[in-house]
Amino acid sequence: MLRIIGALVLSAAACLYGFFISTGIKRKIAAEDGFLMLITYIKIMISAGNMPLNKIYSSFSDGELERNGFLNDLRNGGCNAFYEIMTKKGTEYIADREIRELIVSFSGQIGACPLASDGVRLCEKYISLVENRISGIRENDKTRALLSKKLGIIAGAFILVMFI
Amino acid sequence: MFKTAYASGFDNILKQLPTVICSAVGELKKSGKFSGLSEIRLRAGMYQSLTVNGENLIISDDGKLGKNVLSPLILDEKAIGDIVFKMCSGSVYSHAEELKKGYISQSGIRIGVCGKGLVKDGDPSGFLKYNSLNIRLPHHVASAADELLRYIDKNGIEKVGGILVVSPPGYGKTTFLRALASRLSGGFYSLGKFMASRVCIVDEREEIYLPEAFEKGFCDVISALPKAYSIEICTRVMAPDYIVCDEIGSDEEAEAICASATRGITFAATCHGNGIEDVSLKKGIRSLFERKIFNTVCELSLNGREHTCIIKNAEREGSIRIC
Repeated sequence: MLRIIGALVLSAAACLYGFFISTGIKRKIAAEDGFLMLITYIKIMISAGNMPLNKIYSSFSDGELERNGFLNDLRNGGCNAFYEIMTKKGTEYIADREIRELIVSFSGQIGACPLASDGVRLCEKYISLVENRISGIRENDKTRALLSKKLGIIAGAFILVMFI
Repeated sequence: MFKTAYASGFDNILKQLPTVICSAVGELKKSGKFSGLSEIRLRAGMYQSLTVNGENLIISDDGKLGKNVLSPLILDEKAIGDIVFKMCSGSVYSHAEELKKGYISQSGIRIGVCGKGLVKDGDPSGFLKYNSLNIRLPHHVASAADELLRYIDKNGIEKVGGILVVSPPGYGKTTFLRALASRLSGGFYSLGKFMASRVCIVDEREEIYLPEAFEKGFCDVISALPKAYSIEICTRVMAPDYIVCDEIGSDEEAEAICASATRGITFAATCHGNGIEDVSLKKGIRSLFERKIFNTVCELSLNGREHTCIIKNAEREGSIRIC
């Protein structure tokens, strides 16, 4: 009896770990999409009416960036909040080094653009760079997420078979 | 005639400056000379100074003030750029229209900007680098226009008509106009009768309107838009008795003023110049005199620290040169 219960617990743990890794990957994917959406939103709001960044941040919403606390930090930060958050806590929000560096570089430049047209051009440039990078790694990330889930289930099933 | 008062936005500005400069302002407060502070001037690679009662006091690197200090505070171009960035709330592009005209406005305080200009498609479009800042502390001096108000009481508001305030820069035109607008909207006497007017302030550079100066009264403010456009808008939608605007002079502004005046609106405005003869050399202003839009001219002058105001009848004075 004790062996069966132990096997069930181990099997469930293996499955959950697989799901946990898969969810982590999916959240990183969602965060990357969130940052891409944020840059797109900044571009739209600047071209629509030269809206200052603090107002853009307060009106922007994204599920994953809200959940991980990035938007909260951004709204409550100072006038250079985006750059400061990304340089201090960038690794918490974006796993891929290349995308992180692109976002840090963008956040350091956008506020200092002397004209709205320069800001829009900068957004367009970084949207294109981030999209290129994302398209290069997205399939791999999705496969990893699926694989983690499958491996967790297989490991759980294997433990059950082995012990029962 | 002029006493100084505190301007509400100044604390916000101070928060964005290096702490040494805040210490220097604190030093000034301790010495009881803060009321004389009119400007904070910051320059890359040179002295930083406060203008107090017309004198330039240099800021030392430990926040002390003096006419001659041993170790003056030196800021580099990056530090000045960072201050501009903060003054623009981290979005320089959103202040592009102001920067194009050489200033940033914040909480009723105008910050003059100098540096390496940016030209796009042949038009000046702001700055690439910033070298100098001039933070001008506005003063609400409730009594600044008292002399003119006595004149209005004696002669009647109808006879006084449109008012043009004339002086060279730095003589207190805007302070005078603010005090006048505050009293016209808050209550004044005309031929012994108490009255108040609906006043619309056209505040293109956001430096006339200070909340503490307009707590009472019938006052509407249109800000951050070109004067000619604002005059047209507030004539159409606000139906004021008076329109108050600073630093008029262009033909376009004169046209807008003429168009509004024909609808029965009276104007109180300022103009750079040494006197009525000087400003009537400007085509736009001359046409306003010719159409009798300004009947009264107030010439401000400065003798040492004393401001004086000479009130003239534009029709009588102007007839010497205008026609």
